[in-house]
Amino acid sequence: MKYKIMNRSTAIAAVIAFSIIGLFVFSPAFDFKGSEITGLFVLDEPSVDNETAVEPIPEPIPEPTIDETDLSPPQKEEETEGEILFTVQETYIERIYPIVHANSVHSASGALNSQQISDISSDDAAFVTLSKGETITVELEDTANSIDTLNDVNCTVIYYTDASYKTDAAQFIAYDSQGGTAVDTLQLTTPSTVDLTRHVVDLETKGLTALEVSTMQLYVVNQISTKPYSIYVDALWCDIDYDYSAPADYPVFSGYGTNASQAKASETVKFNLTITDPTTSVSYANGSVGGQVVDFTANGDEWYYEHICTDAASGTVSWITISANDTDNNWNSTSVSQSYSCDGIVPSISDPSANETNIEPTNYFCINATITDDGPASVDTVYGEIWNTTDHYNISLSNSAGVCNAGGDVYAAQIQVTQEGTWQYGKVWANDSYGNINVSDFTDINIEVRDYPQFSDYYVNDTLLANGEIAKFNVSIISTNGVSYANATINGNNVNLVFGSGTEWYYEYTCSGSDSDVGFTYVAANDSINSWNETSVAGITTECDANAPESNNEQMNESSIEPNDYFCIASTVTDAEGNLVAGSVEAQIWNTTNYINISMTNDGSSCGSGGDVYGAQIQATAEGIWNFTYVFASDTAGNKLGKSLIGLNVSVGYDYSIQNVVVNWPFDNAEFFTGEHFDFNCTPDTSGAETGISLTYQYQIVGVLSWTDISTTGNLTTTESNPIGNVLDGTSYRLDTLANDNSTNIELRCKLSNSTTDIFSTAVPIKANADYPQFFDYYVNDTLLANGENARFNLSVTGWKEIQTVNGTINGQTATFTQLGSTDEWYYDYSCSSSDLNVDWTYVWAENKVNNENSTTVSGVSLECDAAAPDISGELTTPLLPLDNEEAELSAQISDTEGNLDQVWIGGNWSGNWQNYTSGITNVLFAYYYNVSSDQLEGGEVVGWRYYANDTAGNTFIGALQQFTVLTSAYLNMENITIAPDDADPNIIVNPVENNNKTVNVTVTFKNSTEIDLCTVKIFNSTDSYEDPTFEYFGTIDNCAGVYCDCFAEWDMEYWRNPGTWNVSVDINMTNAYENKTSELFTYNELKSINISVMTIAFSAVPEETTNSTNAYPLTVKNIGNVLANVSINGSNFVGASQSQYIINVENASYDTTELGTYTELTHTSTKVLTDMAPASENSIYFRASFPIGFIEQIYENTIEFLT
Amino acid sequence: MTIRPLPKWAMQKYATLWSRFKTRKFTYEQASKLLNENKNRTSVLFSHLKKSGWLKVSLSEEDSRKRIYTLISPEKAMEGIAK
Repeated sequence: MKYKIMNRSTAIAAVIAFSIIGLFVFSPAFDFKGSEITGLFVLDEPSVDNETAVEPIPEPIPEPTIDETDLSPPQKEEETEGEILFTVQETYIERIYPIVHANSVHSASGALNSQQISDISSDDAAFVTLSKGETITVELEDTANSIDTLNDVNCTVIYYTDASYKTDAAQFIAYDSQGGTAVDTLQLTTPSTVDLTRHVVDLETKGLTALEVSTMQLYVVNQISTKPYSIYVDALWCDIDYDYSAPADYPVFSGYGTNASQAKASETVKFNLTITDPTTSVSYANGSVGGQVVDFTANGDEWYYEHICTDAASGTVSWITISANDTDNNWNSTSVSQSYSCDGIVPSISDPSANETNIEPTNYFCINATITDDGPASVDTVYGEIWNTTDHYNISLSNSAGVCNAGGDVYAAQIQVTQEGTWQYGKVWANDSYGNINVSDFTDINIEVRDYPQFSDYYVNDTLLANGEIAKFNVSIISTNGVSYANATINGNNVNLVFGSGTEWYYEYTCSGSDSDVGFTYVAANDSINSWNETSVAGITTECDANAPESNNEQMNESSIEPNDYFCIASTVTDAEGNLVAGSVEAQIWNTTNYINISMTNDGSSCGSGGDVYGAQIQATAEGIWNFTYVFASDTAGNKLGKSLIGLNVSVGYDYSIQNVVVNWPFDNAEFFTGEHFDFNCTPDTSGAETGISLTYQYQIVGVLSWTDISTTGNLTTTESNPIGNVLDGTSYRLDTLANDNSTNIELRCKLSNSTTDIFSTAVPIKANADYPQFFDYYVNDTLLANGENARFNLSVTGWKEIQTVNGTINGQTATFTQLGSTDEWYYDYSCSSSDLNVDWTYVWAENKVNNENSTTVSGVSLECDAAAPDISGELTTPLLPLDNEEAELSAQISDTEGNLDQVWIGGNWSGNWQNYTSGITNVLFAYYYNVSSDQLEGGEVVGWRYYANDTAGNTFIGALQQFTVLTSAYLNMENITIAPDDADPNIIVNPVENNNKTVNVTVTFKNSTEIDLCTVKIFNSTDSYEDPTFEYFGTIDNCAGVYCDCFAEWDMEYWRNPGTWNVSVDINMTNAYENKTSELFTYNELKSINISVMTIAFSAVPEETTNSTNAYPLTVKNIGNVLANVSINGSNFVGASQSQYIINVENASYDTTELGTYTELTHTSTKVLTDMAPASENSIYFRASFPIGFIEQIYENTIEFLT
Repeated sequence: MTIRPLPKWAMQKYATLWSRFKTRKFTYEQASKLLNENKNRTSVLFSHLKKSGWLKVSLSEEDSRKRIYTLISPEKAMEGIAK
């Protein structure tokens, strides 16, 4: 067994001997050429199967080119010249046997035929007996018109005579058709026997030029004897020599026609004719139709072409030629004159429109469309599609002038809408007279049909209003859908109208401020389907006269007169709107027994009247006190003035003078409340009274009591008994509450009378009310309280009856309020003792002394109780012992539980005296900082400081007193830092050691060593890739020499520490100094390395057995470098150690990283097995092998490379 | 754990970190990038925060060689300082 490890700079390859022990026979079936080809795969070139190659496709033979423009018929065959004997057609006999008619003139035409000839040449019965005077007429006719030039015609007749019928002569004469006479006379001899004589007549030489109709006549011209003479014609034929033209074997055309005279787009019109061929059949026909040569189709002898009417073909489509060919390729053509009218153009529809978009039911709207037609046919009918909400209509549109701007190309229809909703003008159809139809797209034209509310009958029912009077503005609104709401503009304000009845809607305007022009200017309404209408309104106005006439400067010109004298009253009466009714000004006068109304005028007749001054002269007819008690007036709007006057009176009498009597009453308009009473007295002015006159002193509560002597009680109780007498000393009387309700209105008057005259005080109005406590003016005098601070909740509680108790609910608790002296104010003092953000006053109730209660909720009156002061903690001096040449940072953590922190300040004595500082304090979050500059610090000084904080509620917290002593700074100088790995690399590069540590040390040289108490060396990795990058070592201080001293620190760098740049930081501390350097660096090199647990992987097995390795199950791989490692392996074949010709393939060994995984065969190719192995980590690889049969027992070895 | 107050320079950086990460986990690189500091200074800051009780260190679940950091809240710090 062998093992070898190769160190290749940063990679390791492990070579493992693979030993196999066993007895087996093995025949190597294949042979690799060596490990050099590991990973090399040789792939065969792909072959090509030539047998399946596709034969090339031969080039196609081009189609023969047909020149369709050459449509002329084929030329007739060249004419031939020759003799044709007409006989049966089949044999082409150049002999013709004319029709022979005896004794008659026969003009029948037609082809000769042998049958007729045979009639003649057959038996006797067929003989033609030509008697004297009789004629045989022979006609020749070229019925086939096949003879061009007639050259020679020889007719032969064979006849004989009966011997018994001799004749002197007979003449055989032939004529041509032109009437020329050519006579060939036969001199007949009388035969003794039957004489059969042949005679030939050369008709051509007799001038026959054509055979259209040629006639021969044979007759006896010269009768020798008188006896009947006959000749017997036995045979007759003609030989014709002529120039021959080819037979007329061309297609023959006839029966031209069409099946229609007009057609619309896409319709087919059939052009047809009959084509026959005399000898063969017609094989092909074409013709020029519509400017194009088209093929015709056969249907027996009928040939036709179906022409389709299209847009392009629109117009007259003419069939002008026809050509045909027969199977012998005889071509013929001729002109044709057939046509039809094609309209392949549909009418054009454009500009569909409607003249309305919003109309009301029963109204009309127009729909229009422009229809044009460029085809032969004119526009025939036009329809418009109308959709309403339920139905669909096709409306006929017309271009008859007069409706909806129709005319010319414009077609229109007028439509009456019958129901509400959205009517749509849909598609438009147009037909022309040939039946072409066009349908437009959907027009998307909508006509909203709505029954908009309609307005009418605007009016206002009163055009002049007094204050408080109401005018009704009316409008009739008609809507079939029902008006949902309506509003209007009245006097510039938008107001909602109220539904009245029927169609009436109204708004009631209340006159409250004078306005000469209250207009109804606008109305709008909406119906139940949201149809809105609105309109302006004009001319509907009213005037609001809110002011009653005023009376001022009321006067009486006398204060004391004798009976029957006159006195004047006057008043200045005006009306702000100028609507005063002059005749309405009246004065009310108390004439000692009654109130009378006196008309006042401004006619200037008396008492200074004129202009706005109205007056009246009154005769005092009775003694007593005449009072001018009221001025009345009204304006045209109906506002009424009724001004009560006080103190205007005149004393009418003879013998005494009582100036006045008044009610001494504490109020101008008194109100009683439940349980109350009020005192009053009647005080006469008797300064001018004569003595000895008996006066009666009375009061009257109008509405309740009649005049009552003061001595009487009724509802009146006096505080003194019997105050009546001549002594009128102002005695008080008490009036108790009349009722515990709000309904009683009374008056109180006093009266002083002597025997003839009564003097009245002005009436005092009194009202009786129930009385409940009333609440006003809630407030609290402080909304944020500090601990122990009080706040006062206040309110005013009023009532005619004295308030007995007031309670409230504050912060959920019942609070008893206290009356502030004898005022209406009540209060409750709340004391802040524990923090509460919301101390609310929610309810209050009170009771008066007649037990009437009232209560109410209270809102918006609350305060916050902030009972906790801010907190100050964590005071810190940075540095703990500042030097006199550095700044001291004084910090603390300050917060307020309620979030009301207001102000933070600091106090300290660094300036010599204790002072507080509010500026210069900064904070980060809740940490507050204040810096004391170095020039304020002296070495040896003891500095005291503390923070203070208060909150907005007024709570103040004083932080704990802090102290520090200022150190005197010292001189320190770090001069040199030397980093030295144990291999003393001059570049301060530290090379890791596999699976081991590397020792590194730092030597720091500095001055002033004697007082240095600490040297700290820290090493940290700037990449921070792995485990805590920072080491911290405390160096030892030694090697002091003079002022220099060294600090030495040594540490081990583990191999797995991450590579890269490492920093060395040195802190030097002494009692009064500190210095730091972090500028020194070193590089920790990268190390790639792995370690495997065994050097030889051993197996022991018999053939055909798969066995686990005895010592590598598993094999352990460890990353002993400081970077991630990937591990690959590859192997070689196993070679017998003793007999090297035995070679076992490498793939007989397999491996996996898990014992129960899927094993991979070992190959010659480097294959990754482990990925990203972390430094110092370990992984396993399990090996197995199988052994083939046929190999001898020996050790087989191979090599496995481990690569990273 | 006792929490000690921070000097202003550390408190300012803590506030910056807190505004971003609150109580979420973060890495050394994230902090260094946020603070725009070189890593030496960040190391010093982390050391200070950790010693003062403002920073907790735990191992990464994904790579135990890496460290993950979390801040304690200002409120907890306040409570710790006040004790």
